[in-house]
Amino acid sequence: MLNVVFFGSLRERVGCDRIQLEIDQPMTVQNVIDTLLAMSEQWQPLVNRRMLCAVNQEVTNLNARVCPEDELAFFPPVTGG
Amino acid sequence: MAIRIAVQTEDFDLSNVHARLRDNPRCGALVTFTGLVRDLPEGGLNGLTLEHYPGMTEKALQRIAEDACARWPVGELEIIHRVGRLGPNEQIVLVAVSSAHRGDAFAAAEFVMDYLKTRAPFWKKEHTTSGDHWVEARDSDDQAASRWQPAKGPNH
Repeated sequence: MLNVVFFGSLRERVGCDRIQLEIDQPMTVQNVIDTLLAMSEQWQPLVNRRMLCAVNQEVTNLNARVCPEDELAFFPPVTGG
Repeated sequence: MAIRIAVQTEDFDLSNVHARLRDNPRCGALVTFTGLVRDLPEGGLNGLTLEHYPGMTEKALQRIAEDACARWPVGELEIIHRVGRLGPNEQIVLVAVSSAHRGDAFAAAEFVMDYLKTRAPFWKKEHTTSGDHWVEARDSDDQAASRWQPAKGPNH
């Protein structure tokens, strides 16, 4: 299972803070987005040029690979401080 | 060199941090920065909620602190960032840096804040009299962080 988590305004737009996605082999972050988009329109907010992603809590890009058991996070640009 | 990172809902007391960091006979400078909840230019802010990514937040802050210590000769460096609901004028973040001399302490503290604002996974939602709004990231924050690149370390 791939753990997918969402934060900030993106969490509100997709309407949940985490899902588990059944994947049986490594795939790219873009593949994960495409898989979700094929499942439901709920995931349309993931298609956003400014959206950021992290794999196992390290910021990366859409070409990064994720494996079963990884944690994939999607979030908007940060606004702390 | 010692680093301390805390992400917490509770408020913090600057005087405690100040007392801890000034207890270093090799450091002649101690710089502290406190970020506060600021009202909107037009008024009407009732408070903020700060969301974060537990686990990644602490790692990101630790890395920023280590980067600062690699660029400047830091004695002690402490970052406290609050999360959850905060009222008007409450304290959000504290960065405290001690060093032998003030130039390095000022620079390291400013570097930590610039990087924190663009790299650490926190998100602010404003609660206002006209509703709730997520704060948008600002280009000026990205520009502030980018001026530190590439590595600029006057003493290294």
